[in-house]
Amino acid sequence: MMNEQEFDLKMDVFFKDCNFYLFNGEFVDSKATAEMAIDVCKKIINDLDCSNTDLKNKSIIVGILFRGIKDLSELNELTKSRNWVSQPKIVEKAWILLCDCKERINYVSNYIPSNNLTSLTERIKYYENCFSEKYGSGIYASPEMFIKSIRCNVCGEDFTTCEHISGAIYNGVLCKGIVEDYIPKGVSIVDNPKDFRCRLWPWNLKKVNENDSSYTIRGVILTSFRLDDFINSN
Amino acid sequence: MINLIGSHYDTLKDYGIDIKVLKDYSVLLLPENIESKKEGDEFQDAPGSILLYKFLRSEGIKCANSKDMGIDSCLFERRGGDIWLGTIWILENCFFPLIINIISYKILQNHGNKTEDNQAHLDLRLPNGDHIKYDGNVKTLYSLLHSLEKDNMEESFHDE
Repeated sequence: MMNEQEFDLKMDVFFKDCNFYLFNGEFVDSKATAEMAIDVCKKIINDLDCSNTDLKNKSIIVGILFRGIKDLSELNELTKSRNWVSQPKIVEKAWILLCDCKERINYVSNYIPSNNLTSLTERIKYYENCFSEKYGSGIYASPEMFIKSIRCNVCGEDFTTCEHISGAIYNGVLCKGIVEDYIPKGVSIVDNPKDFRCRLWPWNLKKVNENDSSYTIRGVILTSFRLDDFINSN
Repeated sequence: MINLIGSHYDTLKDYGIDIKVLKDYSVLLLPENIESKKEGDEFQDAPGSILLYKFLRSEGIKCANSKDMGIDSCLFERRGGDIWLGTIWILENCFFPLIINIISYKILQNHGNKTEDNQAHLDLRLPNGDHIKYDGNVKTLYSLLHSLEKDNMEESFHDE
């Protein structure tokens, strides 16, 4: 198993390669390189014999960074055609990738100096402008629910009373509350949601019938996004 | 030293809270609908109160939430970008500045979606009996909390 210094050097090479490929429009290669880096991080996190907690914690943060780079590579690949912004299916997929990528890069910006992330954040801003110029700031679905039980994934206790804070890393585990029991209450349409993936698109709005002023809209209301979804993936 | 004025005592008693246990706490984080709950409704804790509870306790402030007070409640998750903090009942004057700083810098500033439009919602009960119900933008709430902190310091100075 590598030590922290070897890990840093290896990840630095992966990061430079990803940036080079992204800058030169070689998105398949940037995605493949990001996947190699994620694989290294995943092995360290899941290694039961590794007792170096600092290395495990660092692997989670770096893994999330490369997962964000993978999102960005897929987004670039998906939007290669000149008129992508007018194609509903591509727009919906691209929006989800942009939200995933933004959330991951925002998270790692708490740990990694912002000047190292400039090229990524500029690319994210470019895509945000593409969406906002064509579709404005958007409207979103925002579900309301009564949560009866929520458990902490670090200690297994009631998340509302334990000491662990969502988003912090404890001994190689990214803390989050796992909802175990809830009652759905309703869905609101808002302009400032918690989850921007739940965007409602105009082409999914349909008139119920010609003689009626009612409309229906199809859209995502709840997602199962995880910053560190690579840890348990095959 | 708990500084409970008569009306506070009566109100908490009306909510079914065991007054004897209050001596163990400096701050209570109670359901947002503790006053307005209708019969048959559930007590609703605000999502922001979970993080506030953890930060207050990590700073050594004796803080109780609905569960600690024996209130059967559920978490009302709205999945909106606003910040809901529920009912914050400050019982001890000496912790006032620290609590205001935790709300301002750890909760409001670190909220996920940082936009100018972010709204905050809280019901703040102060040790001197003042009661502030706030539904408005985060920027104005900062100013309000800091002016309250300043007033509190001046009051403490005059009391001495």
